[in-house]
Amino acid sequence: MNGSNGFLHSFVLYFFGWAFVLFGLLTVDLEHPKKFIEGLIEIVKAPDYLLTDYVQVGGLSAAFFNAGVLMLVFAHILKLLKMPITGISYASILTIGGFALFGKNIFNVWPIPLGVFLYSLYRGEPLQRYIYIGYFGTALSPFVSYVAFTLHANFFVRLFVSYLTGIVVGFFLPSLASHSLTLHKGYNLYNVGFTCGLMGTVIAAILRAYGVRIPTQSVWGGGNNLVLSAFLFSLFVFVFLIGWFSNGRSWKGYGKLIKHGGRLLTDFVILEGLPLTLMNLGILGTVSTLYVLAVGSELNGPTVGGIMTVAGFAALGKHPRNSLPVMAGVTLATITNSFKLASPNNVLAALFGTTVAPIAGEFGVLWGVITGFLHNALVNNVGFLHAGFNLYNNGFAGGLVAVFLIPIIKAVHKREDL
Amino acid sequence: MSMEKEATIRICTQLIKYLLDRHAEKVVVEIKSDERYRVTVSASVTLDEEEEEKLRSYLSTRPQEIGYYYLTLVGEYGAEEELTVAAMLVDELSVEYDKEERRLEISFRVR
Repeated sequence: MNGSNGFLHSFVLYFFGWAFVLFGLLTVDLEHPKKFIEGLIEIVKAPDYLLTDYVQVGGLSAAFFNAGVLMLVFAHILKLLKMPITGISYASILTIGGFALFGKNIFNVWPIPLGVFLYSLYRGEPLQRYIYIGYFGTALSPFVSYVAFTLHANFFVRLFVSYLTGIVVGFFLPSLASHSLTLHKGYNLYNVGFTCGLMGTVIAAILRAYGVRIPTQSVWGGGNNLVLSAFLFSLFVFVFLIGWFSNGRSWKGYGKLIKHGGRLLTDFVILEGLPLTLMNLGILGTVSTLYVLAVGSELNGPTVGGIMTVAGFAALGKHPRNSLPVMAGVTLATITNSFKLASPNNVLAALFGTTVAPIAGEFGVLWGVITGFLHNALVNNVGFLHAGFNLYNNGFAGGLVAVFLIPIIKAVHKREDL
Repeated sequence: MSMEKEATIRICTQLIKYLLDRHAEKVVVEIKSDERYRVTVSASVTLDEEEEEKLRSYLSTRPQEIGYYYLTLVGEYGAEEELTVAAMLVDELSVEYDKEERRLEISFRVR
């Protein structure tokens, strides 16, 4: 990595965090500053299991401030650990930021990475080996909040027990996540989401076996399409232009990038360089935002979270050629089933469903559409299993889709190497 | 099985699949077990300039700890992308290709 590239990598790594923090602070004027602080407290206290829109719970500024701060802190940890900044770095930071708009907050994210850290100490291996599992593992943060705010005990006991349970979950996550890869063979990009779905299912089953009732909720806000459209389009156009200029104001190499199937670990920063990755990120971010608006849905915490996650994984396997067929499949399913196009069921499935984009990338558009169609059905039925504790519900469903579909594709295509 | 041993087996499998997919006529794998595994893979194979450049580019990926997390995917397919993960797991890597003789030699030490 030469000097200018090193600067660009660092700049982009922190850019999204700063953009979210500044947007959060600028929109404070739209509300009362006191409401901003109260909003942050509400976000921390909220039962975070799916679906909890932080923009609705704490307001626009508090939600984006929370997301921006988390992105900056987690980005800085990567720098402190001297991690090479590659596609997985951007994917993890943008995913954390996206989900910090509907489930992850400055209180509940720490125990799981801490558990992963303790696992690396226990194994006598460097933390760098497992750091991203810890980052993506924050998908189970709502479980920490659930214990902290529903246990009948005094504050310190609740705090201790909630963090302890999060640490225990984090401790076993690396081993489970590595094994999960062998099930879907890298065709589900949100592998830790799949793993967290399995863990969440076990946790919820144990709680239910002891008579614990875990309520469901759906906090889904709206009314911010204008301001959030302006913010997102500016963000993604800016990122695209950085890539475009760094790539010599050309599309050179982009055709090669979209030829990759996208299966894990297709790290575009390593394979094709940062400029093309940024162009891809800008394109997928813009397309995802347009999708939400085109189906008449709302730009809110969950949908912006979905857009940020798609954009993040534009550095780690997703591109228009493998993502659009899956989105089309999800949409086709919605047109023919009982959901509405603008409903959370459809919009979130279309955005996060691109977790299985590698199936389209490797086997073509038709399989991509079938995958999306199937994903739409599954994702709306597996949330109950983990009681919403796993924020990456689509990662869980996507893993199941891949486990189910890959042997079928193998049979149809007579391929033995799958 | 130790992680080093598993990594060695998977990286070799990855390279063998890659080479056979490109119709290599002869592939020889030599593994020396010292404190760490030293591997030399030599093959008679035709690589055009673009293919050779791609191979060198993928194998020039810097060693990274994250490669161990994705270890179970290495050697599954022999696809180009997994070469980058394989490269994350080794050091002292060298790639030599004699176009006239069609002789490729890749040597490395598993970290």
